[in-house]
Amino acid sequence: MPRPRRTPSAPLLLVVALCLGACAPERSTFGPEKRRKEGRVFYLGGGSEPESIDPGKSYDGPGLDVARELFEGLTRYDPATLDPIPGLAERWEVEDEGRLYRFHLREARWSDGRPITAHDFEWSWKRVLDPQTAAQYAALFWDVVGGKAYNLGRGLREAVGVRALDDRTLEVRLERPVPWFLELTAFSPFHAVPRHAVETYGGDWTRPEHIVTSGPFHLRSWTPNYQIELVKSPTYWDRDAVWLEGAVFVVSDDNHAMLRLFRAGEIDWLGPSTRPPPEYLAHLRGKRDYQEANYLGSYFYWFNLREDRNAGAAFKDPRVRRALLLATDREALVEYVTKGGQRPADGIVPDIFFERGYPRPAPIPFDPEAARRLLAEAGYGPGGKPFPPIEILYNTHEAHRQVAEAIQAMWKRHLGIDVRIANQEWKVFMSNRLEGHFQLARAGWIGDFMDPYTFLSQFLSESEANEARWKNAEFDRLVLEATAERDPAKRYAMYARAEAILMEELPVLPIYYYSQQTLIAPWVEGFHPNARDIHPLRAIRLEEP
Amino acid sequence: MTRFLLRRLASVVPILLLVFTLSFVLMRLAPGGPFDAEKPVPPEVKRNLERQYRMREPWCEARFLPALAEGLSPDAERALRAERPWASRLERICTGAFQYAWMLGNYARGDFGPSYRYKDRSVNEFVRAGLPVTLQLGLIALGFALCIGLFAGLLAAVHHNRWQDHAAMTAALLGISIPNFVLGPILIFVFSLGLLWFPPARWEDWSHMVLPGFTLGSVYAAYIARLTRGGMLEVVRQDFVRTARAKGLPERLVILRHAIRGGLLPVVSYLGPAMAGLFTGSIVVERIFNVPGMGRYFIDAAINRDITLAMAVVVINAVFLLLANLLVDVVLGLLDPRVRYE
Repeated sequence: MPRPRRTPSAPLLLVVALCLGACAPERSTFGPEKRRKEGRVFYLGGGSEPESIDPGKSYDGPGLDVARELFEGLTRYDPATLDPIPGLAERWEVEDEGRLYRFHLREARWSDGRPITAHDFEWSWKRVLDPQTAAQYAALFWDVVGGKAYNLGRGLREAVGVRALDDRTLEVRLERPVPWFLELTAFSPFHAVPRHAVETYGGDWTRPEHIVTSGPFHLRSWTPNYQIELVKSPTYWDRDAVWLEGAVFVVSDDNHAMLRLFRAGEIDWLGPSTRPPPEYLAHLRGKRDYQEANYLGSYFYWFNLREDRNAGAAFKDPRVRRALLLATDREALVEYVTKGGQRPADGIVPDIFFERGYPRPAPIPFDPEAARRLLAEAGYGPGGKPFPPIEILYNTHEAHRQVAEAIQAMWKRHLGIDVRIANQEWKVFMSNRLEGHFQLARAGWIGDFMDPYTFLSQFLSESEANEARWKNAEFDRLVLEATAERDPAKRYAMYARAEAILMEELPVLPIYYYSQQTLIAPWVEGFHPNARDIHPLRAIRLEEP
Repeated sequence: MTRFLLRRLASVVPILLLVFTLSFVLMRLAPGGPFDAEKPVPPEVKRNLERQYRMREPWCEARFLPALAEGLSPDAERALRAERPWASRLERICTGAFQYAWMLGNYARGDFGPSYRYKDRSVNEFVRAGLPVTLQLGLIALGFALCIGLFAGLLAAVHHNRWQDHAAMTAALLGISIPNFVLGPILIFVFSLGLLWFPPARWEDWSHMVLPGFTLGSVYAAYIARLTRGGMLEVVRQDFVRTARAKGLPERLVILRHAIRGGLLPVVSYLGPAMAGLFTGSIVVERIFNVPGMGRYFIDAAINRDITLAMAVVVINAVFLLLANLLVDVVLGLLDPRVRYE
């Protein structure tokens, strides 16, 4: 006998409907919902111990992050767009087709009350160029007239084209137009350091008891490998715009420890140098305090094309390089292996520039059929010579291992090539890369400013960073001519032509464009995801409890 | 006693010199330099850095590879070195000898030299900031280890082969087998993120010290428990204990006044290496709990090729090991009438 079908009762439907309405909208957080700390002090992860917080000498991310808050340049970064806006210079003129900059400084004081003058800038820039300072970012100043010669020990200090016309006017002469120069002046190496403190205390001048600063914050304490404590500077020219009373950089390069501190509400933001460990990403992605954004970086493999080594003999043939690229399913790689919001790369200039009008490079398909054909043309495979075994070198890291293993499997499956993968501890790896002891080596390149030049310049023939030792005169010409072009659209078009040559010859195997992942508490305001993960603390506010 | 101490202290110097020399040679032989980075610095800048930090010695270059004086490009220098491997090797040894003498001279003045990675800092500063913290953490861990270990060991020995014994020894076995990089996160998960009793990391007041102290001390507590139990069981079977019992002393006094002196000898001799181990063992614990101590430099400094910092950590650890062993020998002599200071 058929049973009567039971219909869901009205009360049950009501419960389901209520639950759908109540449960759906608000997403939960990974850390606490409400702030557990009080006061206007911002706690953030500082990454590893800074190598130096001297703006002229710092070279590592954590050091630059602290230095950027303590000192201000002629220009500074807009917190949202990172475009250069007036900093210690209230205005400037650009003359001689971009070869001459005249900055007019505003009235501003060092934290010890002395006025900040154009002479401070002149002295500081020459200090960075001084070969004795051994500043690692000195090459950024090579475009200043006479800068390169002085830095290399072949020119005179007096010949360097930076000059204080009076206390408030600084004149800079450049060898060639540098379209991103105003962005450079916001970058720490271009910040003025207090000559009187540096000359009195030498290397100790960056200690809390000696330091004299010009930025929105001042250094209160610095405990090595533990924390760096900043307090709002009472002498900063725009102090009224700074909401925070202080900030604490919690120093640790252990991402898991930082994640736990965030979860316990001990820090408000993971910080620019700390990434959530990859195994957490799937769990974090649905949380309200998790953020993901595109990042100004490219991930790729170098082919070793050097003449002095036969390490990569098979790669000397460009058809082999193209075959390897065509057999690399980069789409699958970012979707199933890296899983952190990366995008498959069709070039070296990251996709962040596309929205600024940079022409997209021609898409590189995943085409194992064409790859096999190319390899056969080059004389390898069935009927030809066997492909010599190759080795991918990477620095010891779980994420790099996974990418290398995936590529190893793809090339084996689609091309029948035997690939060895080898990992080395960072310094050994870097030493081997620089010395040319590799066949294929992992590399990541992070841009220093918002111009494709920061990515393309490493492929210039004479660049020390060109680890393939690939040389192409047409590429060099296009890139160097582009830098003289002040119209961004035309400049981008020339860069794109140069990049097309690069992608034709393939000294590198492009893999993906970087993304950044972070955790930021819901009560933090004034935090804007941006291409370089730079977040000036002067814009940060903590929602009043 | 004084002669014994003097003789032992005198032997410390050559041992330290040996440790210093060996670690120097190992650091020099490791491939990669402190200034190798993904974004290469201008060659002239790198040369200046290397000169400032004694990785390049103009005298040695002039002697063995005079062509370097012209300021060759890195590629040209590589080619030159490949062409003349022996001259290049001699130049490296010569530079190393200069660097060795420079560092030894620094050490003689009580100066560990400048850090190769942290540009404006001296190694002394890192030692001054980190060593007290590591010692504090080590002492807390030692306190945990002794309290828990002695209690559990005595309990097990007194209740030999009863459930207290089995429970204590099972706990000890767990303590020995669970490494601190597993125990630490578990404790954090339960007591920091779950119960919110203790902070998950950092080093401010006593509440920050409980979890790392316990994590670091647990393995030692387990060893001490086993050693105490073993030592006590051996002693309680001996004649003088039987005599004490025969005199009609209460069991508590037999154990605490008579047996414990002999029963703890293995624990005391273990404390020497244990104290040194607490210093080095904090490598992991300091990272997990973000403790600003020195232990982490053991690995970090070596990875960064920060030769001065790495060597300072090794030498300081050697000093600790030597002093701890000396202390143990002295205490053993006080506890055990059979030991003589010869």
